[in-house]
Amino acid sequence: MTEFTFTSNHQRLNKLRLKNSLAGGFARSLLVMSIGMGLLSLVLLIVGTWLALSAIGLAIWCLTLWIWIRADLGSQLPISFAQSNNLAEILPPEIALYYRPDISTTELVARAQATWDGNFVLLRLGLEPLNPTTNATVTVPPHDVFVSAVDISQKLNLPTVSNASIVAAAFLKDPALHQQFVAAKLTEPNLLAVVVWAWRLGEIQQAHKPLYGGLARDWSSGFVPLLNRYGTSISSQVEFAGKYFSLRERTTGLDTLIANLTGPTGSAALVGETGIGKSSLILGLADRLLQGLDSGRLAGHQVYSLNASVLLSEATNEGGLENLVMSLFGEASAAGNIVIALDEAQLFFGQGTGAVNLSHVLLPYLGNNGLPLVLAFTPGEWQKLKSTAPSASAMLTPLILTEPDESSTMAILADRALLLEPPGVTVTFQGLQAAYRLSGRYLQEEAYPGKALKVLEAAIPYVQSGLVTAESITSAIEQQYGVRAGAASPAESNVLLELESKIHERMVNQTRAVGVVANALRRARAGVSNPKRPIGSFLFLGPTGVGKTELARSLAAVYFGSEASIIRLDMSEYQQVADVDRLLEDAATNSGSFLTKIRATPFSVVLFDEIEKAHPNILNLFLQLLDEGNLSDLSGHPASFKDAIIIATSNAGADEIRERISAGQELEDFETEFTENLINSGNFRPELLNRFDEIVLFRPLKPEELVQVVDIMVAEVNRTLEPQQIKVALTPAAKQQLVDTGYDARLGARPLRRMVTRRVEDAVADLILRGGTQPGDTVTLDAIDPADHPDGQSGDHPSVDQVPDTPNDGGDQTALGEVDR
Amino acid sequence: MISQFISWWYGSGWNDAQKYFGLTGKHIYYGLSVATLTRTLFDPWRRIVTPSDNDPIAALKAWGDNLVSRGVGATIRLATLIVAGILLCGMAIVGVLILGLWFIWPLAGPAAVIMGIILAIGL
Repeated sequence: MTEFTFTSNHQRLNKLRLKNSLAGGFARSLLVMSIGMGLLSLVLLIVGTWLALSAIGLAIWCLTLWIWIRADLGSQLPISFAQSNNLAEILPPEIALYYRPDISTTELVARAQATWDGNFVLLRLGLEPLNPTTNATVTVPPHDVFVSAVDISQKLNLPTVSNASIVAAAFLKDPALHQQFVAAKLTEPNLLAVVVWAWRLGEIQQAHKPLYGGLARDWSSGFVPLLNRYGTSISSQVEFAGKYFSLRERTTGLDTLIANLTGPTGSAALVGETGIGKSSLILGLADRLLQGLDSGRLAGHQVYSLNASVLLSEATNEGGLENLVMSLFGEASAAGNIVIALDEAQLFFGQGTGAVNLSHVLLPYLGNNGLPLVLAFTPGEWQKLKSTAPSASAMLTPLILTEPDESSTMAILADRALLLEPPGVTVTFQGLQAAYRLSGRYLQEEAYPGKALKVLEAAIPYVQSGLVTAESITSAIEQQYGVRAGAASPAESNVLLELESKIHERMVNQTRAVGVVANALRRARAGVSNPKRPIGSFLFLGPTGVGKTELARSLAAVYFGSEASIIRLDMSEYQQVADVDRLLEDAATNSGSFLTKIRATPFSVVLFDEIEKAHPNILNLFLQLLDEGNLSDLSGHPASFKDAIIIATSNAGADEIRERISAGQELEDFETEFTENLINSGNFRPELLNRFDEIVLFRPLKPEELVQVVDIMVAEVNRTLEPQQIKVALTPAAKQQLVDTGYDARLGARPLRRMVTRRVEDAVADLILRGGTQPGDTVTLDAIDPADHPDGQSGDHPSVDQVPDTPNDGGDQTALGEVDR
Repeated sequence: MISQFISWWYGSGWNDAQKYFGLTGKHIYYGLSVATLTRTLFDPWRRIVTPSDNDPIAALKAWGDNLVSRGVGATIRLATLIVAGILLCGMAIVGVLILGLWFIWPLAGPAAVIMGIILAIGL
């Protein structure tokens, strides 16, 4: 363990004390006095007295003291802990000044927290500052805090101990502070990342404005009025922002880009997904060229960005556009100090909506290094260009940009957050983490760091007490993508806890199926389930008409907001090998494609009906979907299913289920054996079945359950009739008759639906049209007499029983379809 | 306090002063683009005139215009170089003077005060 010494009368401490004892305005007063004495000496000189010499002497004296205070006393920076173990030399000035061997750690930490970088750590981590005037105390000895602070600085390759590292050390070492730290769900790497963040900001603040070529930089190059009108000067932006522009730049790949631009063709293609940092790299290029650092013949060049969409909107026709582009390129080439960056470059080659093929205009410039060109493409666009315009792509040297890793992305986010923050708003570290995590989940078609920045920007309006926190980010994501990314609210928790009973208001029995689906949702919302897979994936097996699809619908309605939150695919429509492409269509090919729908509403129930009918290649895709929660479209962009419940239904083995149930067996008794049989039957590959969270068997409905189904169906009819203030009710005999006539063991409850339509809905419709009912009436329907309708039908009016023409007399119960009011 | 001042003035203070004048000179040099001006002294001014095509009369006219443009450019650049030279020389003279006086500077103040008083009262 490091042993520290402390020299209380160290020269540095004496200077710090002296500086501290001088009043704040003392240095300024000295300067003013120096100037005043100088002027006085002039007056005395004119008067002709030797006292002018004394005035000059006083002026020199004041000036000398001022220089000393400014240059020496005011900059007592610590030296590296590698060079000394004397606390008088290695501590930051704010701490060294007040340090004494008997100082309490509470005072020490409080002083470190009061500095800008110490406070920066607290603010960015959302931690409460230590208040020594209250009962807050730090019990760990100061020595341990210093040892830890040195360790932190060593780990982070920082040359000296900073106030931020002392604050961080206190949070790591002191039990009480550590508890606060853990309660905020923070880890040591989080703390270290914020210490580095503070250090970097301090370095940028102390840096000098870069030298950008000086007064005569552009005197030998031409004027570019057209470029100024139609383009954007990236170099001007860089020059204006000065040293703070380094917060926006990307430098990885810059050397290669400059090498490509100074190469034989002078043209380069930047290839990378949206958000990967193509624009930031262009900014980095502009900065490097303006500073003239390692940029060869391009030193002093200015970068102009041309946006294809803007040019397309400016030109009235293709010829006009061609002339405009030729003029712009001609002007840039003649100016002699221009690099042109073409954003959305594919539009110049006829790719994309509203694009115009101007490759014949571009080709002469691409092959000639007189005008350096940087063209930005996504990987898909670049591949397309290689196949459609091979001559153009051959002249471009591609620079493939890759996504930065997590720590690099977090560093970029930290830098950019400082530029995004409006006055009075602070982005916390937890906010940055949430932006990274949630953008990875919900903006899969874009790349880091752009997508995380996009989320961060979107979260600014959701600021809470001046802080952009993880909750702000979650709110922005939930609002933008209609998902539930944050912790469940009390109201939502209630729905989740009562999910089974709410679903059973819409469907009868199938308790096990309802239970497993409800449990999956509860696990997901409690944050217990694997976030890298769908919320839940289930294979529902059973005869037709027993509620498999109805459960998916009910779930969508009860928890996902409405039945519209269900994305349903009838897999009987995906039986051919060509249907694989149809399943994976992107938005550009088909705006209503399956993957476009899941991107638009990621928080959905996805229902694959009759999955056994799908082509085996499609079933292979399901392996990835169920395993990783992703499917990539034909362009290679992933779509996430991690917020969806996947339900696949199949009638496979329905006969066996029916037979076993008829024989008196319970589902639970033969479930395992049934699944084994299913694998052996070859209907499904074992690896597919293995990937479902649960395989749930649905049993045929019993007759008494069918009566409940009738009740639910009648309730639905009543919901439809609600605007007309008319209700319909069935007598027990009528219900039983519907069950008797509507139930088919092979078709389940489905025929019952048709029977309710024919016998109930048609009867009520007939009554309404004939004016036989008024708002507020309840139409009660009874069983029909089989003698009158031996086939179970009612002739012209296929109701349960004929409704009389005359208005009812207001009785409660009707005999044969009378109307109650 | 006096010992601290003396140790700084003749130690790191001396080094800081050298760096300060070096840095100021560098800023004048780059700020006024001395290297660029020297390299491009006779380049046409802002490329206002560009080379013409095969037409001999137009080419001759362009050559003449370019000559004028180069003349204008050279004049402006030379003037700027002269200003830069004056500033750099001034900076160098001030620097050398201050650095030269650096060693006696702390004594100059009190000495001037005492000398002034002595001479004023005619001792």
